[in-house]
Amino acid sequence: MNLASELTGNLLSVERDDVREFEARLADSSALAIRVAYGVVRNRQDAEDVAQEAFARAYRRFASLRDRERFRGWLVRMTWRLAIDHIRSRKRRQNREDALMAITPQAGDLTEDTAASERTARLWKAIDQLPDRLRVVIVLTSIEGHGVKEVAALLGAAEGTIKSRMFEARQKLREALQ
Amino acid sequence: MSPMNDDQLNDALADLRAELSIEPSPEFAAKVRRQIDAEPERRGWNVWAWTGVAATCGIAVVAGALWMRSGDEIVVTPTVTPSVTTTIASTQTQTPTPVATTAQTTSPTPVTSLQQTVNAVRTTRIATAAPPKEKVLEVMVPPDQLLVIRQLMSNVRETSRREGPPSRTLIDPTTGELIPAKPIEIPLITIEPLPGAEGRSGGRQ
Repeated sequence: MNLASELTGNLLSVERDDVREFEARLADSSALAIRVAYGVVRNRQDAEDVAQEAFARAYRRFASLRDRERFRGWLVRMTWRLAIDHIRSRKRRQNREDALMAITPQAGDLTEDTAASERTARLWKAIDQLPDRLRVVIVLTSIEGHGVKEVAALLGAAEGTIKSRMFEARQKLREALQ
Repeated sequence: MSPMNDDQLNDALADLRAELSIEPSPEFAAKVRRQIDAEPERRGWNVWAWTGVAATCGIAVVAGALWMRSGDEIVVTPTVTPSVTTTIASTQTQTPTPVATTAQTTSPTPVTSLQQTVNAVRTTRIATAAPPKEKVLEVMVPPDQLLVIRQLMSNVRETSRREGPPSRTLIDPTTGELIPAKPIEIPLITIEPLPGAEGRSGGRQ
């Protein structure tokens, strides 16, 4: 076997390892990405589209991501940004708010309790009014039972920062929902 | 209306948690793979785009460097007189004769008016002929003198670089070593009051 074919073989095996690892990450983190996106776009199909784009970008940069343990954090931040861009570009905010006001319970999406649905709709509206840095904390703590430590790791911020943001966000939500 | 208490907020956030616990659709992974497979074309286009951008930047840098270098050169033109001088000279040589004759024969008023117009023309021409920008320094030197000037400048540069020995007055003739500098002595300054200024403080009480 000559050097060129050996090198090509090595590169291909590295690439195969990358692909295998990426497949594992995709299976592991797709729910997280979709939930993060859903926390912003509030529409299942749009959330999947945003998460799909985030994974495509992640794949492009996957080989250059040195610390792959931080992949989830990177993915969350990318998904959040894409979701925000998605909302801004399509100007769906107003439509979404209107839809939330005239909300109808759907199987699997909302609970059957109408009072709870109304309360959730009001909460979403209040969350939308929060600044971005507080909104992302509220959404992430509501996903997969993330605690302060996990949210800090995902956002690459200090735990103290996340705690104070949580406090501020809860206070603002309480004021908005009174 | 009372503000929401912690329990109510926790209930609302629990509803939020329930709503956010959605699962990806079964075809999600397949869609991601399809999008990734469609990527190489885009990546190829990006490579070409970046190559084009890099080439354009390179050309711009080279052109800029050449342009900067051409700006430093001394331009020697055989026609020595600048345009400003020419226009002033022509105005001066043409106008005085008729002015003088009219001044002698008739009244002095036309003379002054003509002189005013001459001055006006002169000033306007100077104003218009003066270059607004002085980016390139043009030195008008006849070619035969240019060589001499260059030689003179190079001689000046060479002599300024030379480092001569220290002055002889600083060297002790017996030992041949440098004499340490003496400290400067400043005599004491005594301020005497001016005559007739006694008793005045100068300040307002």
